[in-house]
Amino acid sequence: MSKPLSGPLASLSDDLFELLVGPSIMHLATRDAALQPMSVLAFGLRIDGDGREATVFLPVRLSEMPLRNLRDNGQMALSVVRPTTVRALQLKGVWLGERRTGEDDRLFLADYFEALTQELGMVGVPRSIWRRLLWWPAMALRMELRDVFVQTPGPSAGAPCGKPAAAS
Amino acid sequence: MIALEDLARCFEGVVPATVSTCSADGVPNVSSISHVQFVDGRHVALSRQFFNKTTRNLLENPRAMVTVWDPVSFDVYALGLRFVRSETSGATYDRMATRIEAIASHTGMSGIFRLLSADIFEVTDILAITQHLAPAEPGTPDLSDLPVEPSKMPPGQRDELWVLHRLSTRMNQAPDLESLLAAVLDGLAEDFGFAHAKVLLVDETGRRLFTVASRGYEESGVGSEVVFGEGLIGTVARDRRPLRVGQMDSNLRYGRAVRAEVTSRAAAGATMAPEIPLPGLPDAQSHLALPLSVRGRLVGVLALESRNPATFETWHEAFLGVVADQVAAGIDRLSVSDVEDPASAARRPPAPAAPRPRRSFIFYQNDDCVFVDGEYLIRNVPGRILWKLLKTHQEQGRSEFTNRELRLDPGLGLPPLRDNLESRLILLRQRLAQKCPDVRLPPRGRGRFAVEIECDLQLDERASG
Repeated sequence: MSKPLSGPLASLSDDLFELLVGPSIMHLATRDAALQPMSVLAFGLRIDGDGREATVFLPVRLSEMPLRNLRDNGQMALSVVRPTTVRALQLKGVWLGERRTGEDDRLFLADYFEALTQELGMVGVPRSIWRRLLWWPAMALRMELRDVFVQTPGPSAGAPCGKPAAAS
Repeated sequence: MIALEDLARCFEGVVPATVSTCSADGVPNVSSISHVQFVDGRHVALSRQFFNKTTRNLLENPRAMVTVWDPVSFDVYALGLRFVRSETSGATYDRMATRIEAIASHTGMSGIFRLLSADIFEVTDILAITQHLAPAEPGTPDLSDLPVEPSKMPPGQRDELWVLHRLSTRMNQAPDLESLLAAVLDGLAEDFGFAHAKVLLVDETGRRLFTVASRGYEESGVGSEVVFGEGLIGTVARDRRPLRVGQMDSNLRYGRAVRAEVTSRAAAGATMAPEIPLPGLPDAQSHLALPLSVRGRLVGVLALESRNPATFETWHEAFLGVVADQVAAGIDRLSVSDVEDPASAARRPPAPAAPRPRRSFIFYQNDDCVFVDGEYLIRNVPGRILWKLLKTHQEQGRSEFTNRELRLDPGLGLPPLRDNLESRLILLRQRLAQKCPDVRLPPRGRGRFAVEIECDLQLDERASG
């Protein structure tokens, strides 16, 4: 996957873009009408088109509450954390809807699962445990990307990518 | 509702906890958080090291959710939270600050990676999220793939009070400090299965610890020093609070991520200290260090570590705190005793006539440092003691000494109170055993010891190296 030339992801350095598309722990945050936030484990991200849109995959078994929230207000945030380095990004945007998943998606997620299993093995997550993850069937959530933030722990966490560091 | 108390091990998960918040205008935010700490049955504390979007959101909207992972089953728990207050002092803050400062110090980030506040949240609900996991396969052990260090004791003998009583008896029977330390470390290994442990005592400067006894390491490390405030053990000594760190790798990765971020941006403009090598096991995954205090005075630190990330549980902290108090009292009792047994007639038989090796000792006056055959042996007070003993033995032929006469010798610079003499002699004996076994200082009952020399001594005193 090559780095987009437009949209918020265009400002990412090459290593941060690699972080985005590499194996990572993802959490999708949404909120309900009363502004109660919640997050669930997301699993896999594809950058679509010119980079202004992405598809976030969510195990169907975890999708009930986030989907209810997205249908209410469409606000979503996705954290992407590389387990071995704790380097992290956060994407913010709005829900564009869901789409059908197909064999192409399943193969993409199977590869992603293998890569993440390797990555998590390096931080002590037993393969036998991680293999219990029911990542399929998955729901494909389309997201219009509005902002991307560096989220690696430190004084600059929360700084918008491509802009001067300032805690946000 | 799931009891918060039942999630204790989740707060040390191998995958960092995640906090989600929401701004007043409805935009969610999600980020990793380094520490979630149990406060009581209805509250948790989240660490805040930096002022960021999470903080701003909480000031606008107190609702939050934290997800934590069970480090064994990898079940996920979602805690619905309501922000209550930020604490910058008090027990919860101090406890969290000690943990964070230890990690910061260990990664050379002291002063940069530090706790701003412990943010207290009311837990409004707890959801177990397990539907994304297939049931465990039959026969899959709960701790699959994780190394374990089970106690070798039969299960029926592992009853905690029984073990405590056994350890207490061992300590009470110890005639001297060396025996006491051996009893403690042996007891921890045999009765608890804590095979890697060491005791460090405060030296005469009051700002440093030195290792006086250890178990379970290839190198004993006796004599190695830790400055107060440096690393995990130094932090415990400085703050005089126990420190339990599980999932060491996870905590270190977090600290190192901060360090890498600061370094790459040079935002702080600060000079960072080099990372302190972890003493002991190079691949330790969990640590428990307890201050040894008597009447508010720190005498040392008891430090345990394990390759198993889940070895030390919450209750161990309190339980071993009782052990630590007894150890501290024992050290205090045996360190100041000036009781002497009468001079004994029993003597080690003279060594058979054989070619004796020649040992060259050099004493450097500028730093009270002793070298043997060109290799560093010991310094400071134990260095001065050794030099006095060797010179007296060579010049006067004496081979038996008392603790009392050392205490009364102003040239040794022992402090008038709490002189640590016993512990310095233990250190000296062990260093000699490692570096020069031809010279020994065996005890001859309470308050008395011998100097046994099975080599030809060459003593040389120099102003500086």
